[in-house]
Amino acid sequence: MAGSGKAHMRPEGDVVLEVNDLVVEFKLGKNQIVKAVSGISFDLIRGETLAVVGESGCGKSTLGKAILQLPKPTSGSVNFLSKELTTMGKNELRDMRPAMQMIFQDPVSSLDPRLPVSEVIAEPLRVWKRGNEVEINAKIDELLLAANLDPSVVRDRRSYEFSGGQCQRISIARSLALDPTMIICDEPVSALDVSVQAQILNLLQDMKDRYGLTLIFISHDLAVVKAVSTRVMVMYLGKVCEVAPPEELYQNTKHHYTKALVGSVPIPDPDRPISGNLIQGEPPSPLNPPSGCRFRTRCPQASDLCAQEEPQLREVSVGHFVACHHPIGE
Amino acid sequence: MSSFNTVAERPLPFAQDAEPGVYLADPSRRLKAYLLDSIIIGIIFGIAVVATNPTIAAIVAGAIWSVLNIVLNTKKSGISPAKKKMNMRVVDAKTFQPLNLVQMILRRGLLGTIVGEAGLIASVVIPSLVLNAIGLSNGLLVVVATVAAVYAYASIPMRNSRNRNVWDIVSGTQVVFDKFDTLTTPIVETKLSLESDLLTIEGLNVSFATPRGNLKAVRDVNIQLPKGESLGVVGESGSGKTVLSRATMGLLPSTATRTGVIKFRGEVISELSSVEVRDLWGTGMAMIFQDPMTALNPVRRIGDQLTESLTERIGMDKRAATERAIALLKRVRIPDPEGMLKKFPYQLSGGMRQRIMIAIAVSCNPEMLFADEPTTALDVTVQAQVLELLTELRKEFNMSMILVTHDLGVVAGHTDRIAVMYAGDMVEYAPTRSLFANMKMPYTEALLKSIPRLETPTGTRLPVVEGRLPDPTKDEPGCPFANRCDYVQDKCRAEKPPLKDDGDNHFYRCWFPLGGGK
Repeated sequence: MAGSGKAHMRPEGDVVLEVNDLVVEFKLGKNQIVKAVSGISFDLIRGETLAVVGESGCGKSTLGKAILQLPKPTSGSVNFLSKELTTMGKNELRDMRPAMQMIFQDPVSSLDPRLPVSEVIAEPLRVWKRGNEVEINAKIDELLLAANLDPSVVRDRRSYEFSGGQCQRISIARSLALDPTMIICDEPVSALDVSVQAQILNLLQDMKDRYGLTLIFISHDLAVVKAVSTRVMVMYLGKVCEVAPPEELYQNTKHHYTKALVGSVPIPDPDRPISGNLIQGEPPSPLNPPSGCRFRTRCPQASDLCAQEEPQLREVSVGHFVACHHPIGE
Repeated sequence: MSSFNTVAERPLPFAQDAEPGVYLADPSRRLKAYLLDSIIIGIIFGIAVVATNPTIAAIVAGAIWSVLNIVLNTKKSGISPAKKKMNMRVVDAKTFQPLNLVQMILRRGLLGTIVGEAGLIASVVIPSLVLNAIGLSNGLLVVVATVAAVYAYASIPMRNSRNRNVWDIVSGTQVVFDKFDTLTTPIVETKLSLESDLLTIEGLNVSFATPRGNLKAVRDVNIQLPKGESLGVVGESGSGKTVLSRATMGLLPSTATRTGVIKFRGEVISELSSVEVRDLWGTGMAMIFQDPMTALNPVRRIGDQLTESLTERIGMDKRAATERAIALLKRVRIPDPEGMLKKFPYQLSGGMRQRIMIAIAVSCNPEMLFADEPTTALDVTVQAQVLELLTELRKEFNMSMILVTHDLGVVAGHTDRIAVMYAGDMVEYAPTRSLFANMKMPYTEALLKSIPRLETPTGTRLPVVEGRLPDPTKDEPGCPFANRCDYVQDKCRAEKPPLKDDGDNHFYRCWFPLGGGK
């Protein structure tokens, strides 16, 4: 991977979000630029769950924030519900915000510790003047019930009285308050226990079906992604490696980086210990990414071609795209 | 007294130039000890020379010194306080058996004394005669200085011959040092106890005083951990797994009350004061903390943090400690270890910082390593590398390890035994294979099922453990898991099940175990 290209874009379908050549760079002192996201394109069809997978520092969270224009990307276009977000003015953009929401990684710190739960959820409704007090109260109860919380018990409590899993339920309820079209979930379960993780993943799935949501699910855990996504995009150092439906991606892995990620997932079986030898070291600095394919410094199959030429995304089977000069099995 | 075999068997991870399996006294540290000796010997000679004829004085004083040194060497480490602190001992160079008094006199004594006396006579008598001949009868200072210099020279340990000095080579002996030098128990007892379990926990209870009442974090836990084995402690947040490992190490806050017996190397450490327990840290037991971002000191360089325990605990000098720090960094696969010493923690990624934490934890070669969620803050690819590294180091250094985690996938491939904790109770305790093949506890099964797997088809609902842990401040009757259990029956709510053994070292706490029970 670690390449560019738009072969995976779909011309047909009810496209909710279309991102083209998105670049996010941060200045770091003089003459130093962190290349967090380098020319990523993808589209999102209504009702889909796109999982964005990669190691820390691959730009997956930056990508999620850039879509929400927090802050605005350096270049590229973000087309949401047929409207271009990058060129929008402040007020126009604000009007778009209710339709796109975010769920954050740390559920406890993303809730205001001074507000009771009912206020946490009511705040967006009040700001957007959605109904009178009675309607707002009814909406709060509906959302809390949908998130499997008992409104009569939790309404007046504050976030510090809850466990991480309960806080994440409250965050999910809050993100649904304004009936959004798309929710970006930034590592929503990585701070939670395994048993709670399953509860939250199921809840997200229920909410998606119930409210007809389109999700971007950012995670570093391929096993979690497998459970929830309809399409997976593997990122490495600001570029796309591989795009495929989850079943296809795991059974017919084409990219060496994806293979390493899949192989690193701990399996609860003493006869199948995970191997740390699939991939060595850590990603290079995004200040000075390698030439050509960005993964070549850690890739077992790297050749001279990889250093000279950046691989482009190409279709290897229906719906399965890979950016690699030497994909597995070829 | 045959117990030094164990010392010889223990690998020496730091002195790269030494032969494998030998515990050597650090050369520079040892040199300091001998220089102190030189000063003492110089004073004895000085008094003798002032009092009488220099030649006779030299011989008499030398003899007194030798006898004193030999006798004391069989017990402790000679006269010098520096040597005593290091617990240096003289052993046979080939067999690593400690020398008894007779051997000491015959080998270190006779051979060493002949060489030593010859040197002394040559260095004292000849200059004295020369000084007398040219009329400078008061050459006292010169004589004393020469003696000290010769003695010191002969004492310099040679780095490439197992750090031995002239005395050692002539007498075919070897000075080793015992790394448990700060322990109050005699070395021999410590070594013998290595034959049995390294760590034994009997009836451990930990509770915290909170405004809501007494919070019972750990209830009646029993664990035996043989040397070199690894134990995985698994459970949800709040199950008491972290408190268990901290209680064992003596790292509890003052609001905690701990009862029960903890034995380490056969010695009861639960009765020790906090100052005495501190002597075990680093050399006896060490801990890797969950969050590598906050466990390192942000304002000190990596090199300082890595050498701190080496200089403070083992008493290495700065130069030797730096050498060892570089070797350790290489071992945990950090590129450019020399450059790393100069860096600050904020310059490193999470994976790098966790490697540094591991290097610090194993630096003093502990026998027991606690790893408290060592990979939770890391990426999956880095997690795989760190787990692999821990397992390698454990085998290489022959350490026992307690790996605390909430992820059954992490412990499956890296432990010999697993203890599953629930609400402070140990609910299942079994060899890893037996646990996965023959699961007894409904809770363990529920925990295992809730892990998302690569094999699960997309879109399937994950089985969840509904509900939460019971309130740890209340002591309710019945099984604490009863309210969340799929197989619950009336008996479960009425009576708390005891920990039962199925006869195969597989313990479980359930009235109606999966697959039946005995």
